[in-house]
Amino acid sequence: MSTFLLDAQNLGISFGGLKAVQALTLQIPPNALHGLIGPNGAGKTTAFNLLTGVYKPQTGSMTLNAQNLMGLPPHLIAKAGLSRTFQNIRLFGELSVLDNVMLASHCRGHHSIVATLFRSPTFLAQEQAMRRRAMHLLDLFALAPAAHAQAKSLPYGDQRRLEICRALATEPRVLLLDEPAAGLNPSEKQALAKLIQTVKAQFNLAVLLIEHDMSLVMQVCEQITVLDHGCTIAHGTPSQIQSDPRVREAYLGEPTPTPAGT
Amino acid sequence: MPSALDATTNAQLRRPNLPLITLPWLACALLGLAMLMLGRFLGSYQETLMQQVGIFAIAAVSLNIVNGLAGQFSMGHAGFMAVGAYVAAATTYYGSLLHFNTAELQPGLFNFGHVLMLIGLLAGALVAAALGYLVGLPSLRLRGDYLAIVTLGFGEIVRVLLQQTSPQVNGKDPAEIAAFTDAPLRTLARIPLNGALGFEGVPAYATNLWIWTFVGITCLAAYRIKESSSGRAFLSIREDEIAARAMGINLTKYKVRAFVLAAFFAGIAGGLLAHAGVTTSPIDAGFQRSFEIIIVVVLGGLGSISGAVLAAIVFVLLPQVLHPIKDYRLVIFALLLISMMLLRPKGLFGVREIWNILPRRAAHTKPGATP
Amino acid sequence: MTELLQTLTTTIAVGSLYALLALGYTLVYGVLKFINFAHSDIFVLGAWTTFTAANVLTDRLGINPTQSPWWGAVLILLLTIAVCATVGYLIERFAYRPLRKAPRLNVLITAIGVSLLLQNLGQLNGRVTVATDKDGRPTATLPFGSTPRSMPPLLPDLVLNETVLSQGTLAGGTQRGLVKLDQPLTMLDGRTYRIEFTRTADGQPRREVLALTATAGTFPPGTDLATQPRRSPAEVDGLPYSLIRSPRVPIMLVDVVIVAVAITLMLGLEFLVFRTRLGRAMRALSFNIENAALMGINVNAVISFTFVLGTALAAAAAFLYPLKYPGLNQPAHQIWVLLGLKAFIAAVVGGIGNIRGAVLGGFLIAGIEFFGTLYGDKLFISLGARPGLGTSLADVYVFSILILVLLVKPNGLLGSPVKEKV
Repeated sequence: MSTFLLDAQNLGISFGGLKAVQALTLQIPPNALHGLIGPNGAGKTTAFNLLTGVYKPQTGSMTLNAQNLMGLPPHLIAKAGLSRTFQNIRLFGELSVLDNVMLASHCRGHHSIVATLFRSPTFLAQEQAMRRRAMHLLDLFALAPAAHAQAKSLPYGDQRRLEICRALATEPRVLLLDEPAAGLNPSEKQALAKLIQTVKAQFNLAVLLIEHDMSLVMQVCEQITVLDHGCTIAHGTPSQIQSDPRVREAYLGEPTPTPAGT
Repeated sequence: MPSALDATTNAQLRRPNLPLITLPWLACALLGLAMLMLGRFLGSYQETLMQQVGIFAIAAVSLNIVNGLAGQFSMGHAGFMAVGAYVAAATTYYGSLLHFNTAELQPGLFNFGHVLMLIGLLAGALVAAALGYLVGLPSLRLRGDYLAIVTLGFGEIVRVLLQQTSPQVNGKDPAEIAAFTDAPLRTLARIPLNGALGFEGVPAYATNLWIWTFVGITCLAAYRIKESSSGRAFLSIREDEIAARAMGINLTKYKVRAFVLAAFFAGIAGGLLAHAGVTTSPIDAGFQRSFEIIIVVVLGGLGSISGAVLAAIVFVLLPQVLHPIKDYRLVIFALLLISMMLLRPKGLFGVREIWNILPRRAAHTKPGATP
Repeated sequence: MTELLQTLTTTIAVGSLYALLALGYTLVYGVLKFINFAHSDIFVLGAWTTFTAANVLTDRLGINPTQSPWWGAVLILLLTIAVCATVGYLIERFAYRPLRKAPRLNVLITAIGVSLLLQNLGQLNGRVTVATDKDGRPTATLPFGSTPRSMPPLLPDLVLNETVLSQGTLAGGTQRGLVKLDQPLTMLDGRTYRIEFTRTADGQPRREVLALTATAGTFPPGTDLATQPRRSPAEVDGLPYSLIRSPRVPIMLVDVVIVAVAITLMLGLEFLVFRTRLGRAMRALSFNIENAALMGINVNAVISFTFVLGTALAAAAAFLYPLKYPGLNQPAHQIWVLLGLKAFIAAVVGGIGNIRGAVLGGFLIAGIEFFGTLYGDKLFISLGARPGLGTSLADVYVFSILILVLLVKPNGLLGSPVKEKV
């Protein structure tokens, strides 16, 4: 049994001959904060889609806490403890903020239709527990005052935070954040960095972060994996990554230095 | 801020704490009783209209579960209704022939005829629900338009199949009744549902008392589903399937569940229609009836239960009130449908109920207020 | 064998109608990504426009289209196309264009609304009588009304592959209902023979047909032959006749016209879409509307054009359909919806958005319908069901194919897969 909470080995998928991701290996220990970076089109979001079951990996293996996740549909992966946010926000716009969060705790409950129709005591207790927990999460994200507003009516920054809040409501072991800082201003980004660390500590989970803002990534991540053209090209601590010539090449297009070079 | 939060949570937590769970069901029976009285008071023409309104309301509210809440566009709802209608009609008709030796309406407030009707309603609803399960399965692979066409095809197939059934036993001919009661199973095996002519002579047990009690039950059930974890799951599928799956919603299960629930109550609506003193005809399974129900649901609001009931009332009664427009009824409703999509695409009430439109506005301007 | 070939000719004729109609669904789906639910109602509008125009032609202008110059029918075709294209343009402009960015469900509901509107406007009871029969009863009204009507013939009722066995002079037989030929005649079993001649009645030349009802065998000249209808010897004596044998598999002029028009239009469409600038613009739109707009394509114009093109094809199909099936049901009849549904299924089975797929699907669906009817009935009878059951289930076969194709190959036979971007 591996010491890693999330252990994905050699994940790969190709779309009609194009190898979108090949041989992606990600090993995330419990309570880690791991960054996944790479230039545009490197396959980062595809990697998330593979991990969360939106696409079925064609090669490799994937376990979460020693449970095999390969080939599971997305809702079972969510239930196993892997939850995500989306790069282009995918909230349930017509639903209230509270309902968005309550919905996400769905996979932790039992929803018999008979109990629903007759409002059995267990059903009521479960609804109450879901509501209480959702309000607690919203409170933590300072979204409680807007609990009954429609999700689509929230300002952009709040929608981003609501996505994280909703992902947390599934009670994940690993939280996958897809560019959570996109479109935020510098002070909001700082608040987000703090929030990610708070969440990680408070909920005792591992975080996998896709982000384009390098200063944010370097500031919060303990380990970083770099993708380019669907391949893992580097792996290490922020300082290792910063000095890695292959990473610089991928981002800046510099020629690969000879071993004797710079 | 903490005080605002507390206000919300406390109000929210108090709300579902209704210990008297039988009370709402009793209210449904009271609604039926009230409507029965009202119908008698107004006269027989109005009584018939109220029956139509009630049945339409059940059909619309049930379609709203799958079209409005779960966002799976079904265009074969009349097919489910017709299945329920035929099963219920056959149960009562042939049950009456066996038990009373006649298919005439039996007098009295409650007799074995009513029991037969209730059995028929349940059987019809269950058969419709089973078909809903079958139709719901492809909904997993078919999105939007394709699903609409497959469900439309379902309704048409039901219509074609019903037209192929064999003639029914004539309830006015003692010889035929005797032949039937001697060997009921052999007669029933040739599916005597009277083909294209339509099933006739079902005793009209479905008075406004029964119809409106079922309106109440259907609305209560639909409302409880909507305001539950299942309802949220339905709505999340409607809003964004990919996000819903990522949040742990089993799409197959909930899409099929929506279809089954909708088909079940459609079966009830059909069963009541069959007992409302009209001929149950294969045409009822066709797309025209399905489209009428869709109009009602869309006008009332996709997801709004009270909106669907209100729209059903308007749909049935408006042409009666404005007599000159009777010929243009569907022209007008078609224009309404188009303009509704252009001007107010979520329907009159959207996903909301009539009674929470005003308080919601207040909640919007004053965060933390109770909805 | 005969049955099979007959079914095949029907399949090709009706298949090309389905294909024309399916092309309309596929074109609109290609650029707008939604099913134009009102497409079948455009078809109905076309069929009734053809009917109305044909009646006006015969009643008001006194032209008999079957005998008059061929352009009578062409005129009606062009008029039908003009009417349908105009209505199609208006629908796109005022109902669909405002919803271009709306969820697909809303557009679908709007399309249902448009469909209901066209149906119910069409079946309103006629206010204006535009043509009457010789007794002054209205034959065509606007709106079309809710009475089923029968289409006047636009084409002569010709079978193209008949054999003229002999020509000669006819003589009356020994009694009423018998005739004598001046040529020897060999009648084969299972074939039908007839005599055509022209006689003058009430001062007007009139073409008449006598079917030979004798059994198979060889008859020397001068034998008494029984005919139907029965004519007295005096009526037929001394008239020049043609003896004609009907083919085993008749090829009707109307079928040939249908297939010829349909194939011409399909080739024209193929040329337009794949060989012209406008076609390239349409294909660009089908990939990505925003990008096409950035490349300088006038999106609204191209979408309107595509829509008009689709409705024009439906109009052509609508002109051809009543030539073959002259019984016109009222505009809101379910038969029309089923017809449109079959064409739509053809588009889906072929791969919606794919032009060649729509044509393939059209012929395929017609094949399933007619061969299914032929063999389905035999199968059901062999299983002990009553005759006719297998025939009335034709629509069920077609729908089963739809469900099968959607489950096995959801993008249709020639369609390309679409992945939603996450």
